[in-house]
Amino acid sequence: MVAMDGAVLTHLRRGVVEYCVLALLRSGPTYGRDIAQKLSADGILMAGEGTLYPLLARLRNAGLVHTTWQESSAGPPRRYYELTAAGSGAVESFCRTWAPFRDAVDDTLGES
Amino acid sequence: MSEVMSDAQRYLDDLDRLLRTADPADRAEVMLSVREHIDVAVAELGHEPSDAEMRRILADLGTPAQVAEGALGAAGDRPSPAPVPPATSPPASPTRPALAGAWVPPVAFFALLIGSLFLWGVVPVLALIAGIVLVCASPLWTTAQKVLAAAVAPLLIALPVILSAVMYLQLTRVESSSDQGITESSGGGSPIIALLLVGLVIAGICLLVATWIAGARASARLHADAEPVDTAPR
Repeated sequence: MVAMDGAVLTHLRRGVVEYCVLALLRSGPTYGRDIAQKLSADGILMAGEGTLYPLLARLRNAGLVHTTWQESSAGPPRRYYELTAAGSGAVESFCRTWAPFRDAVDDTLGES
Repeated sequence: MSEVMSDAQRYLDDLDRLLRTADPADRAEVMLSVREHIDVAVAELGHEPSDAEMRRILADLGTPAQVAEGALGAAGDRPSPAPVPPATSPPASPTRPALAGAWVPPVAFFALLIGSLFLWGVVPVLALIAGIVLVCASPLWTTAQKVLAAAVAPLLIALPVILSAVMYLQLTRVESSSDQGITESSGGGSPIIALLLVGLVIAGICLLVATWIAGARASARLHADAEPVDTAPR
């Protein structure tokens, strides 16, 4: 596990991880906890599973995701999230922007 | 079951207090989601969670401070519905829940203590007010604890001090016409009253000490691993 600077990591996560959340939803409606577990598995994109929930609240406020409840036979009813059309558009836009951005950063860092 | 669920309840209470300054709708939504997360995790276990299992569930969530951070710093960070990246100006460091640092309990303790003990000075009165405001505004204490620290304890300490001063003044006025020496300031001839008043002051101080300890524990709980830690792959 590479060592990473905490403050830098937090800074980088802002504005990016929410698009990762949207990207995960491209495959279809997903439970909050499943998203949380996928994204926090390596501890890089998210600090703890719980940090997903304020993020989802923001995405919902911005109209990029919407939520529905589903009864579950084993356990409490669970909320699951899906992309809205706007959310879909947002993630497309991010994908278009991210690759050149990432390459530019890598190139710059590699130049020293 | 109750021990373990009280860990979860305390986590949720801590989170709820930290979210006090967040947008009410966001606060409600985050609390709901985190509750659901814990319920689902417990249901998946298929049995009552042990201490260790619950601690694992809560640790996976992150500390209440980490979770709340996302809701607190976010007021201006809404991603726009149009396909434009959010125009955020991130602060140099992540937003911390306010008035939850380790400095709060000791500062509150001394402000309340000095303020209550020396209530006849301007500076102590200001200190008392500052202490009361600090305790009331901080998310480190429950409402009950705040009432005890900001109202009951200062009264327990200040009243006896004021009463002693009043009795002392009456005593010296009465005795200025006699040759008797000045007796115990809080006595007036009754050691029982003196003991009672001293007892009240001690009780008030103990209450403030308990407040300090509770606040320090809450702060530690909220900020354990507040910095993102390198976690090993699960």
